[in-house]
Amino acid sequence: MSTTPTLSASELSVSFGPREALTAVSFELSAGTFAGVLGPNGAGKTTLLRALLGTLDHRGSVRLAGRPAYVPQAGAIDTAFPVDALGVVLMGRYPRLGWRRRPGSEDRRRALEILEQVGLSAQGRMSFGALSGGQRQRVLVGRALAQEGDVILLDEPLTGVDGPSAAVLLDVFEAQRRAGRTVVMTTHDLAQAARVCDRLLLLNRTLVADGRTDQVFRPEVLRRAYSGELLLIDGQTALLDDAHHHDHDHGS
Amino acid sequence: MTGAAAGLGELATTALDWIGEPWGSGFMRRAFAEAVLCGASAGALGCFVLVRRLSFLGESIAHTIVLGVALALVLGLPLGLGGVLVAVATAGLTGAIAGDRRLSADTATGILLPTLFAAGIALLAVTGGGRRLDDLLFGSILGVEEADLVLAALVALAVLVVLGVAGKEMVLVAFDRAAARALGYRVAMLDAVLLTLVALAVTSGLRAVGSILLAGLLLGPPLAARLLCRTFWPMVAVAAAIGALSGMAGLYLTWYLAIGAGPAIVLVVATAAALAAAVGSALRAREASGDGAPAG
Repeated sequence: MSTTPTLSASELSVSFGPREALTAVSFELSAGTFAGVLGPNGAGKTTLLRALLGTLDHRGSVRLAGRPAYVPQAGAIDTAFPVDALGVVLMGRYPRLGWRRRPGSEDRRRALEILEQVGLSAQGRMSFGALSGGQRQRVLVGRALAQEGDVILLDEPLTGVDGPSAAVLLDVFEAQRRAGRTVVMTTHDLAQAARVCDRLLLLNRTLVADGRTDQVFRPEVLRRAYSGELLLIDGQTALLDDAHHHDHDHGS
Repeated sequence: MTGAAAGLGELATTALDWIGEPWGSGFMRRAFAEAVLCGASAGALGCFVLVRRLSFLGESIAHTIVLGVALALVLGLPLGLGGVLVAVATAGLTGAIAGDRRLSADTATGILLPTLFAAGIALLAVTGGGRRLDDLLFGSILGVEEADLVLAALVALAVLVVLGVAGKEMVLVAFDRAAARALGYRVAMLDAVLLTLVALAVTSGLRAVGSILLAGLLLGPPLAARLLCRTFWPMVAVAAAIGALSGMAGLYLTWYLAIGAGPAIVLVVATAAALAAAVGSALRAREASGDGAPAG
Protein backbone atom coordinates (compact mmCIF):
# COMPACT_ATOMS: atom_id res chain seq x y z
CA MET A 1 0.00 0.00 0.00
CA SER A 2 1.36 3.44 -0.88
CA THR A 3 2.30 5.74 2.00
CA THR A 4 2.19 8.92 -0.09
CA PRO A 5 -0.32 11.31 1.53
CA THR A 6 -3.46 11.62 -0.56
CA LEU A 7 -5.00 14.08 1.86
CA SER A 8 -3.20 16.54 4.07
CA ALA A 9 -4.00 19.70 5.97
CA SER A 10 -1.54 22.17 7.36
CA GLU A 11 -2.49 24.77 9.97
CA LEU A 12 -6.08 24.61 8.72
CA SER A 13 -8.31 27.17 10.46
CA VAL A 14 -11.90 28.24 9.83
CA SER A 15 -13.80 31.16 11.34
CA PHE A 16 -17.47 32.06 11.21
CA GLY A 17 -17.40 35.77 11.90
CA PRO A 18 -15.60 36.29 15.21
CA ARG A 19 -16.02 32.63 16.19
CA GLU A 20 -13.12 30.29 15.48
CA ALA A 21 -14.63 26.94 14.46
CA LEU A 22 -11.34 25.18 13.73
CA THR A 23 -7.86 26.21 14.73
CA ALA A 24 -4.57 25.09 13.22
CA VAL A 25 -5.49 21.53 12.26
CA SER A 26 -2.67 19.59 10.62
CA PHE A 27 -2.59 15.93 9.56
CA GLU A 28 -1.68 13.63 6.70
CA LEU A 29 -3.59 10.59 5.45
CA SER A 30 -2.15 8.12 3.00
CA ALA A 31 -3.94 6.02 0.39
CA GLY A 32 -5.76 3.00 1.76
CA THR A 33 -6.59 4.64 5.10
CA PHE A 34 -10.01 4.53 6.75
CA ALA A 35 -9.97 7.48 9.14
CA GLY A 36 -12.65 8.30 11.69
CA VAL A 37 -13.14 11.92 12.75
CA LEU A 38 -14.47 12.02 16.31
CA GLY A 39 -15.45 14.83 18.63
CA PRO A 40 -18.38 16.21 20.61
CA ASN A 41 -21.16 18.29 19.04
CA GLY A 42 -19.77 21.55 17.69
CA ALA A 43 -16.23 20.15 17.57
CA GLY A 44 -15.89 21.14 13.92
CA LYS A 45 -16.20 17.74 12.22
CA THR A 46 -18.48 18.89 9.37
CA THR A 47 -16.54 22.14 9.12
CA LEU A 48 -13.33 20.14 8.67
CA LEU A 49 -14.82 18.11 5.81
CA ARG A 50 -16.15 21.21 4.09
CA ALA A 51 -12.81 22.96 4.43
CA LEU A 52 -11.03 19.91 3.00
CA LEU A 53 -13.42 20.03 0.05
CA GLY A 54 -12.73 23.72 -0.42
CA THR A 55 -16.37 24.73 -0.03
CA LEU A 56 -15.60 26.85 3.06
CA ASP A 57 -13.22 29.79 3.32
CA HIS A 58 -10.24 28.76 5.40
CA ARG A 59 -6.70 29.68 6.34
CA GLY A 60 -3.83 27.25 6.06
CA SER A 61 -3.49 24.74 3.28
CA VAL A 62 -5.18 21.57 2.10
CA ARG A 63 -3.66 19.11 -0.33
CA LEU A 64 -5.97 16.57 -1.88
CA ALA A 65 -4.40 14.26 -4.43
CA GLY A 66 -6.97 13.16 -6.98
CA ARG A 67 -10.69 13.73 -6.92
CA PRO A 68 -12.84 13.95 -3.79
CA ALA A 69 -16.23 12.31 -3.36
CA TYR A 70 -18.53 13.57 -0.63
CA VAL A 71 -21.57 12.31 1.24
CA PRO A 72 -23.23 15.17 3.17
CA GLN A 73 -25.46 14.60 6.17
CA ALA A 74 -28.69 13.07 4.88
CA GLY A 75 -30.93 15.32 6.96
CA ALA A 76 -30.25 18.32 4.69
CA ILE A 77 -31.80 16.64 1.63
CA ASP A 78 -35.42 17.14 0.59
CA THR A 79 -36.90 13.66 0.50
CA ALA A 80 -39.95 14.88 -1.47
CA PHE A 81 -37.75 15.71 -4.49
CA PRO A 82 -38.96 13.93 -7.65
CA VAL A 83 -36.03 11.62 -8.30
CA ASP A 84 -35.52 7.86 -8.13
CA ALA A 85 -32.60 5.97 -6.60
CA LEU A 86 -30.93 5.41 -9.99
CA GLY A 87 -31.22 9.14 -10.76
CA VAL A 88 -29.46 10.05 -7.52
CA VAL A 89 -26.57 7.67 -8.18
CA LEU A 90 -26.26 9.02 -11.73
CA MET A 91 -25.75 12.52 -10.28
CA GLY A 92 -22.32 11.31 -9.18
CA ARG A 93 -21.38 10.97 -12.85
CA TYR A 94 -22.17 14.61 -13.73
CA PRO A 95 -18.64 16.05 -13.23
CA ARG A 96 -17.26 13.44 -15.65
CA LEU A 97 -19.86 14.32 -18.25
CA GLY A 98 -19.32 18.07 -18.18
CA TRP A 99 -21.97 20.58 -19.18
CA ARG A 100 -24.52 19.66 -21.83
CA ARG A 101 -23.95 15.88 -21.95
CA ARG A 102 -26.56 13.61 -20.37
CA PRO A 103 -25.70 10.31 -18.70
CA GLY A 104 -25.40 7.59 -21.34
CA SER A 105 -25.71 3.81 -21.33
CA GLU A 106 -22.23 3.33 -19.83
CA ASP A 107 -23.13 5.69 -16.96
CA ARG A 108 -26.37 3.80 -16.37
CA ARG A 109 -24.55 0.48 -16.39
CA ARG A 110 -22.07 1.76 -13.81
CA ALA A 111 -24.86 3.23 -11.67
CA LEU A 112 -26.75 -0.08 -11.72
CA GLU A 113 -23.57 -1.89 -10.67
CA ILE A 114 -23.20 0.51 -7.77
CA LEU A 115 -26.81 0.02 -6.71
CA GLU A 116 -26.09 -3.70 -6.60
CA GLN A 117 -22.96 -3.01 -4.56
CA VAL A 118 -24.99 -1.14 -1.94
CA GLY A 119 -27.68 -3.83 -1.97
CA LEU A 120 -30.35 -1.85 -3.77
CA SER A 121 -30.47 -3.39 -7.25
CA ALA A 122 -34.24 -3.92 -6.93
CA GLN A 123 -34.92 -0.37 -5.77
CA GLY A 124 -33.39 1.58 -8.67
CA ARG A 125 -36.74 2.86 -9.96
CA MET A 126 -38.14 3.62 -6.52
CA SER A 127 -38.60 7.26 -5.51
CA PHE A 128 -35.77 8.44 -3.28
CA GLY A 129 -38.31 9.62 -0.73
CA ALA A 130 -40.05 6.23 -0.63
CA LEU A 131 -36.88 4.48 0.54
CA SER A 132 -36.12 3.95 4.23
CA GLY A 133 -33.58 6.24 5.91
CA GLY A 134 -30.91 3.56 5.69
CA GLN A 135 -31.64 2.86 2.03
CA ARG A 136 -31.49 6.58 1.24
CA GLN A 137 -28.09 6.75 2.91
CA ARG A 138 -26.92 3.80 0.80
CA VAL A 139 -28.08 5.63 -2.33
CA LEU A 140 -26.15 8.75 -1.31
CA VAL A 141 -23.05 6.66 -0.70
CA GLY A 142 -23.70 5.11 -4.12
CA ARG A 143 -23.67 8.59 -5.63
CA ALA A 144 -20.26 9.18 -4.03
CA LEU A 145 -18.99 5.87 -5.43
CA ALA A 146 -20.21 6.91 -8.88
CA GLN A 147 -17.83 9.87 -8.68
CA GLU A 148 -14.95 7.38 -8.53
CA GLY A 149 -13.04 9.75 -6.29
CA ASP A 150 -9.69 8.97 -4.72
CA VAL A 151 -10.69 10.47 -1.36
CA ILE A 152 -14.16 9.74 0.03
CA LEU A 153 -15.43 12.15 2.69
CA LEU A 154 -18.45 10.93 4.65
CA ASP A 155 -20.34 13.21 7.03
CA GLU A 156 -22.02 11.04 9.65
CA PRO A 157 -23.00 8.36 7.12
CA LEU A 158 -24.23 5.95 9.79
CA THR A 159 -26.28 8.32 11.95
CA GLY A 160 -29.88 7.09 12.19
CA VAL A 161 -29.17 4.21 9.83
CA ASP A 162 -30.68 0.77 10.56
CA GLY A 163 -28.37 -2.14 11.39
CA PRO A 164 -28.51 -3.98 8.04
CA SER A 165 -27.87 -0.76 6.08
CA ALA A 166 -24.98 0.16 8.40
CA ALA A 167 -23.44 -3.28 7.83
CA VAL A 168 -23.71 -2.87 4.04
CA LEU A 169 -22.21 0.61 4.21
CA LEU A 170 -19.29 -0.45 6.41
CA ASP A 171 -18.53 -3.27 3.95
CA VAL A 172 -18.57 -0.76 1.11
CA PHE A 173 -16.24 1.63 2.98
CA GLU A 174 -13.84 -1.20 3.77
CA ALA A 175 -13.86 -2.33 0.12
CA GLN A 176 -13.00 1.23 -0.92
CA ARG A 177 -10.15 1.34 1.59
CA ARG A 178 -8.84 -1.99 0.29
CA ALA A 179 -9.01 -0.60 -3.24
CA GLY A 180 -6.51 2.06 -2.13
CA ARG A 181 -8.89 4.95 -1.59
CA THR A 182 -8.72 7.22 1.43
CA VAL A 183 -11.96 7.12 3.39
CA VAL A 184 -12.70 9.80 6.01
CA MET A 185 -15.83 9.43 8.14
CA THR A 186 -17.17 11.73 10.83
CA THR A 187 -19.15 9.93 13.50
CA HIS A 188 -20.53 10.16 17.01
CA ASP A 189 -20.25 6.44 17.51
CA LEU A 190 -16.93 5.97 19.26
CA ALA A 191 -17.08 2.20 19.53
CA GLN A 192 -18.00 1.74 15.89
CA ALA A 193 -15.18 4.05 14.82
CA ALA A 194 -12.75 2.08 16.96
CA ARG A 195 -13.97 -1.14 15.36
CA VAL A 196 -13.80 -0.14 11.69
CA CYS A 197 -11.28 2.70 11.34
CA ASP A 198 -7.54 2.23 11.29
CA ARG A 199 -6.87 5.88 12.06
CA LEU A 200 -8.65 8.33 14.35
CA LEU A 201 -8.64 12.13 14.35
CA LEU A 202 -9.98 13.52 17.61
CA LEU A 203 -11.34 17.03 17.25
CA ASN A 204 -12.58 19.69 19.58
CA ARG A 205 -12.23 22.87 17.52
CA THR A 206 -8.61 21.87 17.09
CA LEU A 207 -6.92 18.54 16.59
CA VAL A 208 -6.74 17.01 20.06
CA ALA A 209 -5.22 13.71 18.96
CA ASP A 210 -4.32 11.95 15.73
CA GLY A 211 -2.96 8.46 15.32
CA ARG A 212 -3.64 4.79 14.93
CA THR A 213 -6.88 3.67 16.47
CA ASP A 214 -5.17 1.83 19.33
CA GLN A 215 -3.23 4.99 20.16
CA VAL A 216 -6.24 7.34 20.20
CA PHE A 217 -9.04 5.13 21.50
CA ARG A 218 -7.84 5.34 25.09
CA PRO A 219 -9.75 6.86 28.00
CA GLU A 220 -7.08 9.41 28.82
CA VAL A 221 -6.92 10.60 25.19
CA LEU A 222 -10.69 10.63 24.56
CA ARG A 223 -11.26 12.57 27.78
CA ARG A 224 -9.17 15.44 26.34
CA ALA A 225 -11.85 16.02 23.69
CA TYR A 226 -15.02 14.94 25.46
CA SER A 227 -14.16 16.02 29.02
CA GLY A 228 -17.26 15.54 31.20
CA GLU A 229 -19.35 14.09 28.38
CA LEU A 230 -17.44 10.84 28.48
CA LEU A 231 -18.13 8.29 31.14
CA LEU A 232 -15.88 5.28 31.48
CA ILE A 233 -16.88 2.09 33.18
CA ASP A 234 -14.27 -0.51 34.02
CA GLY A 235 -11.93 1.27 31.64
CA GLN A 236 -13.62 -0.59 28.76
CA THR A 237 -17.00 0.89 28.01
CA ALA A 238 -17.31 4.31 26.40
CA LEU A 239 -20.65 5.92 27.07
CA LEU A 240 -21.10 9.28 25.43
CA ASP A 241 -23.61 11.42 27.24
CA ASP A 242 -24.32 14.79 25.68
CA ALA A 243 -27.44 16.78 24.94
CA HIS A 244 -28.09 15.26 21.52
CA HIS A 245 -26.59 11.81 21.43
CA HIS A 246 -26.92 8.91 23.79
CA ASP A 247 -24.66 6.26 22.38
CA HIS A 248 -24.43 3.31 24.69
CA ASP A 249 -21.55 1.60 23.03
CA HIS A 250 -19.62 -1.28 24.38
CA GLY A 251 -16.34 -0.64 22.70
CA SER A 252 -13.15 -2.57 22.47
CA MET B 1 -76.16 3.84 -41.09
CA THR B 2 -75.64 6.45 -43.77
CA GLY B 3 -77.62 8.89 -41.66
CA ALA B 4 -75.42 8.19 -38.64
CA ALA B 5 -72.27 8.67 -40.73
CA ALA B 6 -73.63 11.91 -42.12
CA GLY B 7 -74.47 13.03 -38.57
CA LEU B 8 -70.95 12.23 -37.40
CA GLY B 9 -69.49 14.05 -40.38
CA GLU B 10 -71.60 17.10 -39.63
CA LEU B 11 -70.52 16.96 -35.98
CA ALA B 12 -66.87 16.76 -37.03
CA THR B 13 -67.31 19.71 -39.37
CA THR B 14 -68.98 21.73 -36.61
CA ALA B 15 -66.18 20.82 -34.18
CA LEU B 16 -63.52 21.80 -36.70
CA ASP B 17 -65.32 25.07 -37.36
CA TRP B 18 -65.51 25.64 -33.62
CA ILE B 19 -61.79 24.95 -33.21
CA GLY B 20 -60.77 26.89 -36.30
CA GLU B 21 -62.91 29.98 -35.91
CA PRO B 22 -60.68 31.91 -33.47
CA TRP B 23 -57.67 31.30 -35.73
CA GLY B 24 -59.27 33.46 -38.40
CA SER B 25 -58.33 36.61 -36.53
CA GLY B 26 -54.76 37.87 -36.59
CA PHE B 27 -54.88 39.06 -32.98
CA MET B 28 -56.03 35.61 -31.84
CA ARG B 29 -53.23 33.87 -33.75
CA ARG B 30 -50.72 36.13 -32.00
CA ALA B 31 -52.47 35.48 -28.67
CA PHE B 32 -52.28 31.70 -29.21
CA ALA B 33 -48.56 31.96 -29.98
CA GLU B 34 -47.97 34.13 -26.92
CA ALA B 35 -49.98 31.80 -24.68
CA VAL B 36 -48.11 28.70 -25.85
CA LEU B 37 -44.67 30.29 -25.51
CA CYS B 38 -45.34 31.89 -22.10
CA GLY B 39 -47.21 28.86 -20.76
CA ALA B 40 -44.45 26.45 -21.76
CA SER B 41 -41.62 28.65 -20.41
CA ALA B 42 -43.36 29.41 -17.12
CA GLY B 43 -44.42 25.77 -16.71
CA ALA B 44 -40.89 24.43 -17.24
CA LEU B 45 -39.19 26.99 -14.98
CA GLY B 46 -41.93 26.74 -12.39
CA CYS B 47 -40.80 23.13 -11.77
CA PHE B 48 -37.53 24.46 -10.37
CA VAL B 49 -39.41 27.05 -8.30
CA LEU B 50 -41.68 24.32 -6.93
CA VAL B 51 -39.06 21.69 -6.05
CA ARG B 52 -36.82 24.30 -4.48
CA ARG B 53 -39.76 25.39 -2.35
CA LEU B 54 -39.49 28.93 -3.66
CA SER B 55 -43.19 29.33 -4.38
CA PHE B 56 -43.43 32.35 -2.11
CA LEU B 57 -40.51 33.96 -3.93
CA GLY B 58 -42.14 33.17 -7.29
CA GLU B 59 -45.38 34.78 -6.12
CA SER B 60 -43.43 37.75 -4.82
CA ILE B 61 -41.50 38.26 -8.07
CA ALA B 62 -44.73 37.99 -10.08
CA HIS B 63 -45.96 41.08 -8.23
CA THR B 64 -42.78 43.11 -7.68
CA ILE B 65 -42.01 42.79 -11.39
CA VAL B 66 -44.53 45.63 -11.85
CA LEU B 67 -41.91 47.92 -10.30
CA GLY B 68 -39.32 46.59 -12.74
CA VAL B 69 -41.55 47.29 -15.71
CA ALA B 70 -42.36 50.76 -14.36
CA LEU B 71 -38.66 51.51 -13.91
CA ALA B 72 -37.89 50.25 -17.41
CA LEU B 73 -40.62 52.47 -18.87
CA VAL B 74 -39.34 55.51 -16.97
CA LEU B 75 -35.68 54.92 -17.79
CA GLY B 76 -36.27 53.76 -21.36
CA LEU B 77 -34.75 50.33 -20.66
CA PRO B 78 -35.89 47.02 -22.16
CA LEU B 79 -38.76 45.64 -20.06
CA GLY B 80 -36.89 42.35 -19.54
CA LEU B 81 -33.92 44.17 -18.02
CA GLY B 82 -36.14 46.07 -15.59
CA GLY B 83 -37.82 42.80 -14.68
CA VAL B 84 -34.52 41.00 -14.05
CA LEU B 85 -33.17 43.86 -11.91
CA VAL B 86 -36.22 43.93 -9.67
CA ALA B 87 -36.39 40.11 -9.49
CA VAL B 88 -32.77 40.01 -8.34
CA ALA B 89 -33.48 42.81 -5.85
CA THR B 90 -36.54 40.92 -4.58
CA ALA B 91 -34.56 37.71 -4.10
CA GLY B 92 -31.65 39.57 -2.49
CA LEU B 93 -33.87 41.52 -0.09
CA THR B 94 -35.86 38.37 0.75
CA GLY B 95 -32.61 36.59 1.61
CA ALA B 96 -31.36 39.55 3.64
CA ILE B 97 -34.56 39.85 5.69
CA ALA B 98 -34.88 36.07 6.13
CA GLY B 99 -31.23 36.06 7.27
CA ASP B 100 -32.34 37.77 10.47
CA ARG B 101 -33.03 34.79 12.74
CA ARG B 102 -36.05 36.53 14.28
CA LEU B 103 -37.76 36.63 10.87
CA SER B 104 -38.41 34.15 8.04
CA ALA B 105 -38.72 34.01 4.26
CA ASP B 106 -42.53 34.25 4.34
CA THR B 107 -42.30 37.32 6.57
CA ALA B 108 -39.87 38.82 4.07
CA THR B 109 -42.30 38.06 1.24
CA GLY B 110 -45.17 39.53 3.26
CA ILE B 111 -43.27 42.79 3.60
CA LEU B 112 -41.59 43.02 0.19
CA LEU B 113 -44.46 41.94 -2.04
CA PRO B 114 -46.87 44.77 -1.13
CA THR B 115 -44.08 47.34 -0.71
CA LEU B 116 -42.42 46.88 -4.10
CA PHE B 117 -45.77 46.27 -5.81
CA ALA B 118 -47.08 49.54 -4.34
CA ALA B 119 -43.89 51.33 -5.39
CA GLY B 120 -44.42 50.12 -8.95
CA ILE B 121 -48.04 51.33 -9.02
CA ALA B 122 -47.03 54.68 -7.53
CA LEU B 123 -44.22 55.12 -10.05
CA LEU B 124 -46.58 54.38 -12.93
CA ALA B 125 -49.08 56.92 -11.57
CA VAL B 126 -46.46 59.64 -11.07
CA THR B 127 -44.93 59.18 -14.51
CA GLY B 128 -48.22 59.05 -16.38
CA GLY B 129 -48.01 55.33 -17.09
CA GLY B 130 -51.19 54.63 -15.13
CA ARG B 131 -53.12 53.73 -18.27
CA ARG B 132 -50.89 50.65 -18.57
CA LEU B 133 -51.70 49.55 -15.04
CA ASP B 134 -54.70 47.40 -15.97
CA ASP B 135 -52.62 45.62 -18.63
CA LEU B 136 -49.86 44.95 -16.11
CA LEU B 137 -52.24 43.71 -13.44
CA PHE B 138 -54.52 41.55 -15.57
CA GLY B 139 -52.62 41.04 -18.83
CA SER B 140 -53.69 41.98 -22.33
CA ILE B 141 -52.88 38.94 -24.40
CA LEU B 142 -55.38 39.87 -27.11
CA GLY B 143 -53.34 42.98 -27.77
CA VAL B 144 -49.91 41.37 -28.12
CA GLU B 145 -47.64 42.81 -30.74
CA GLU B 146 -44.72 41.45 -32.73
CA ALA B 147 -42.25 42.70 -30.08
CA ASP B 148 -44.08 40.78 -27.33
CA LEU B 149 -43.93 37.61 -29.39
CA VAL B 150 -40.24 38.12 -30.07
CA LEU B 151 -39.59 38.51 -26.31
CA ALA B 152 -41.67 35.40 -25.51
CA ALA B 153 -39.87 33.39 -28.22
CA LEU B 154 -36.44 34.54 -27.01
CA VAL B 155 -37.32 33.62 -23.42
CA ALA B 156 -38.54 30.18 -24.53
CA LEU B 157 -35.34 29.70 -26.53
CA ALA B 158 -33.22 30.79 -23.55
CA VAL B 159 -35.05 28.30 -21.32
CA LEU B 160 -34.43 25.51 -23.83
CA VAL B 161 -30.75 26.37 -24.25
CA VAL B 162 -30.02 26.80 -20.53
CA LEU B 163 -31.83 23.61 -19.55
CA GLY B 164 -30.04 21.80 -22.36
CA VAL B 165 -26.62 23.03 -21.25
CA ALA B 166 -26.94 23.18 -17.45
CA GLY B 167 -30.23 21.48 -16.67
CA LYS B 168 -28.80 18.45 -14.90
CA GLU B 169 -26.52 20.65 -12.80
CA MET B 170 -29.47 22.88 -11.84
CA VAL B 171 -31.38 19.76 -10.78
CA LEU B 172 -28.43 18.66 -8.63
CA VAL B 173 -28.33 22.09 -6.95
CA ALA B 174 -32.07 21.86 -6.30
CA PHE B 175 -31.74 18.37 -4.82
CA ASP B 176 -28.55 18.68 -2.77
CA ARG B 177 -26.73 22.01 -2.61
CA ALA B 178 -23.93 20.69 -0.37
CA ALA B 179 -23.13 17.88 -2.80
CA ALA B 180 -23.27 20.28 -5.76
CA ARG B 181 -20.73 22.53 -4.06
CA ALA B 182 -18.54 19.55 -3.24
CA LEU B 183 -18.65 18.44 -6.87
CA GLY B 184 -17.21 21.80 -7.79
CA TYR B 185 -20.27 23.56 -9.19
CA ARG B 186 -20.73 27.28 -8.70
CA VAL B 187 -24.04 27.08 -6.93
CA ALA B 188 -24.49 30.86 -6.65
CA MET B 189 -23.97 31.23 -10.40
CA LEU B 190 -26.54 28.53 -11.17
CA ASP B 191 -28.96 30.22 -8.74
CA ALA B 192 -28.44 33.50 -10.57
CA VAL B 193 -29.09 31.87 -13.95
CA LEU B 194 -32.33 30.34 -12.67
CA LEU B 195 -33.46 33.61 -11.11
CA THR B 196 -32.71 35.51 -14.33
CA LEU B 197 -34.72 33.02 -16.39
CA VAL B 198 -37.64 33.18 -13.95
CA ALA B 199 -37.56 36.98 -14.08
CA LEU B 200 -37.55 36.96 -17.89
CA ALA B 201 -40.38 34.41 -18.03
CA VAL B 202 -42.41 36.44 -15.54
CA THR B 203 -41.81 39.66 -17.48
CA SER B 204 -42.88 37.94 -20.66
CA GLY B 205 -45.87 36.32 -18.92
CA LEU B 206 -47.13 39.71 -17.69
CA ARG B 207 -48.56 40.27 -21.15
CA ALA B 208 -50.40 36.95 -21.06
CA VAL B 209 -52.09 36.88 -17.67
CA GLY B 210 -50.90 39.94 -15.76
CA SER B 211 -49.11 40.31 -12.47
CA ILE B 212 -51.95 39.28 -10.17
CA LEU B 213 -52.58 35.95 -11.89
CA LEU B 214 -49.04 35.18 -12.97
CA ALA B 215 -48.23 32.93 -10.02
CA GLY B 216 -51.00 30.63 -11.29
CA LEU B 217 -49.17 30.18 -14.60
CA LEU B 218 -45.79 29.79 -12.89
CA LEU B 219 -46.85 27.32 -10.20
CA GLY B 220 -50.07 25.66 -11.41
CA PRO B 221 -48.65 23.54 -14.27
CA PRO B 222 -45.69 22.29 -12.18
CA LEU B 223 -48.08 21.41 -9.37
CA ALA B 224 -50.25 19.41 -11.77
CA ALA B 225 -47.18 17.74 -13.28
CA ARG B 226 -45.74 16.90 -9.87
CA LEU B 227 -48.92 15.02 -9.04
CA LEU B 228 -48.49 12.91 -12.17
CA CYS B 229 -44.74 12.33 -12.39
CA ARG B 230 -42.22 10.67 -10.08
CA THR B 231 -39.07 12.09 -11.63
CA PHE B 232 -38.01 15.59 -12.56
CA TRP B 233 -37.56 15.74 -16.33
CA PRO B 234 -40.89 14.11 -17.21
CA MET B 235 -42.39 16.61 -14.75
CA VAL B 236 -40.80 19.49 -16.69
CA ALA B 237 -42.12 18.18 -20.01
CA VAL B 238 -45.63 17.65 -18.62
CA ALA B 239 -45.64 21.08 -16.91
CA ALA B 240 -44.55 22.82 -20.12
CA ALA B 241 -47.29 20.98 -22.05
CA ILE B 242 -49.95 21.81 -19.45
CA GLY B 243 -48.83 25.47 -19.43
CA ALA B 244 -49.01 25.69 -23.23
CA LEU B 245 -52.31 23.80 -23.60
CA SER B 246 -53.92 25.72 -20.73
CA GLY B 247 -53.00 28.94 -22.50
CA MET B 248 -54.70 27.78 -25.67
CA ALA B 249 -57.76 26.39 -23.86
CA GLY B 250 -58.09 29.63 -21.91
CA LEU B 251 -58.16 31.60 -25.14
CA TYR B 252 -60.99 29.43 -26.48
CA LEU B 253 -62.94 30.25 -23.30
CA THR B 254 -62.21 33.91 -23.91
CA TRP B 255 -63.40 33.70 -27.53
CA TYR B 256 -66.61 31.81 -26.88
CA LEU B 257 -67.58 32.87 -23.35
CA ALA B 258 -66.17 36.41 -23.30
CA ILE B 259 -64.17 35.73 -20.12
CA GLY B 260 -61.02 37.82 -19.62
CA ALA B 261 -58.07 35.92 -21.10
CA GLY B 262 -55.89 36.05 -17.95
CA PRO B 263 -58.55 34.65 -15.60
CA ALA B 264 -59.63 32.09 -18.23
CA ILE B 265 -56.07 30.77 -18.62
CA VAL B 266 -55.49 30.55 -14.87
CA LEU B 267 -58.85 28.82 -14.33
CA VAL B 268 -57.90 26.21 -16.94
CA VAL B 269 -54.56 25.71 -15.17
CA ALA B 270 -56.39 25.22 -11.87
CA THR B 271 -58.74 22.71 -13.52
CA ALA B 272 -55.74 20.84 -14.93
CA ALA B 273 -54.20 20.71 -11.44
CA ALA B 274 -57.46 19.34 -10.00
CA LEU B 275 -57.66 16.70 -12.74
CA ALA B 276 -54.00 15.82 -12.18
CA ALA B 277 -54.68 15.35 -8.47
CA ALA B 278 -57.49 12.92 -9.30
CA VAL B 279 -55.51 11.04 -11.97
CA GLY B 280 -52.36 10.99 -9.81
CA SER B 281 -54.31 9.61 -6.90
CA ALA B 282 -55.82 6.87 -9.09
CA LEU B 283 -52.38 5.99 -10.50
CA ARG B 284 -50.90 5.72 -7.02
CA ALA B 285 -53.79 3.55 -5.86
CA ARG B 286 -53.27 1.28 -8.90
CA GLU B 287 -49.53 1.17 -8.25
CA ALA B 288 -50.11 0.32 -4.59
CA SER B 289 -52.39 -2.56 -5.58
CA GLY B 290 -49.63 -3.84 -7.89
CA ASP B 291 -51.63 -3.51 -11.13
CA GLY B 292 -49.52 -0.94 -12.90
CA ALA B 293 -45.98 0.17 -13.43
CA PRO B 294 -45.02 3.45 -11.76
CA ALA B 295 -45.58 6.60 -13.79
CA GLY B 296 -42.54 8.37 -15.30
